[in-house]
Amino acid sequence: MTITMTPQRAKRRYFAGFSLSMAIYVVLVFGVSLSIKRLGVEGPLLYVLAVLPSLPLMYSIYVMGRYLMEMDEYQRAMQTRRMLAGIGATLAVCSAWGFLEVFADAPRLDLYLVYPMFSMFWGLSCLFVRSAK
Amino acid sequence: MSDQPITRRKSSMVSNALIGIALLFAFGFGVGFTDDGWVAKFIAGQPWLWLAFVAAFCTLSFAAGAIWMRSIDELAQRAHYEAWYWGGSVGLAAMMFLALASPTLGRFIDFEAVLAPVAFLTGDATGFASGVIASILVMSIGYGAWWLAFWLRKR
Amino acid sequence: MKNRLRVLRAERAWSQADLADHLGVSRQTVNAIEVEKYDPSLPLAFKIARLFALPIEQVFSDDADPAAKAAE
Repeated sequence: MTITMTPQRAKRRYFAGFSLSMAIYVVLVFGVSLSIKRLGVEGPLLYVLAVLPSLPLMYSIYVMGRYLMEMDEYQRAMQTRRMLAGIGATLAVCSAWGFLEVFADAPRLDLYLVYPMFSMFWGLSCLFVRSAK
Repeated sequence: MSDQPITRRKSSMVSNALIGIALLFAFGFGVGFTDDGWVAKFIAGQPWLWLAFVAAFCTLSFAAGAIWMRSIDELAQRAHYEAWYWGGSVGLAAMMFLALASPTLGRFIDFEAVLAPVAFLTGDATGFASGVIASILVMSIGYGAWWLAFWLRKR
Repeated sequence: MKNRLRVLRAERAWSQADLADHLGVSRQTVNAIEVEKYDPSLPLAFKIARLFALPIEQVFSDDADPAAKAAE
């Protein structure tokens, strides 16, 4: 028996996948930070450990993409527009900040903040992007 | 968006603008609300302008909420209607009890001491303002709880 | 795009959520179609028409439809 994809099922899969990725992320961030300090890791192992927390974040990006494909057409139209608004705002802010760093000695923007920045702009765009036409 | 009738485009632009303005106000309030912040100086220095400012903020917030309510689907609207009535009524009943009973309760409970940790929220507000804020808070909690319960039941 | 979804739905005493379940889409989609905020894709439009056992033109009508113009 094949199970059809309903909007409720797509949402549940998204929440499950996203929660899982966030849980793994939290564990890895603390675990990697502690183990690097305690064990005095150096060399190639340091690079491998440092990259680890970004892997669940990549999984969360995959989960978002899968959700976008599984949701119904209207929600896909809305979310695509909202994500685009979020991407546009993120690109704009990061470009401006980059030039501020180069020319005006602005404080450095750590790159891992770009994903949360995009999430924030995407969330805000849900208030402003209300039409799919 | 070009094939959409102009009336619908205008109303969504208006609602977006209203939400944006309300958010800016809220942000400004949050930033400015310290004892020597710009908000306190504004209130002290220009009372009529402050009244106009607050009236505009409240009207805009209401309008933004109204436009939002119209834009959501019927089930979501029902959630808000039911939550407002039932949650708000429960909150109202609780506030009515407090209003009628507080002189008597005041003999057993020292309200000043109980509310001391959150006194910073009301600051120099008079008893009237504190009562209004408390009513809004209690009714909002009732509304929020009912709204959450509505959706949890629907799953 | 003008549509008679609300009328057809009321005839069967279906809520937006009920219609959404029948169509396999979300309630927001049904609401968006009803208030003309969104035009459904062809597959979805056919699904809606088949659900109500009507030809598509009797569920949806765009401004160029001569029948809709005659009714005005």
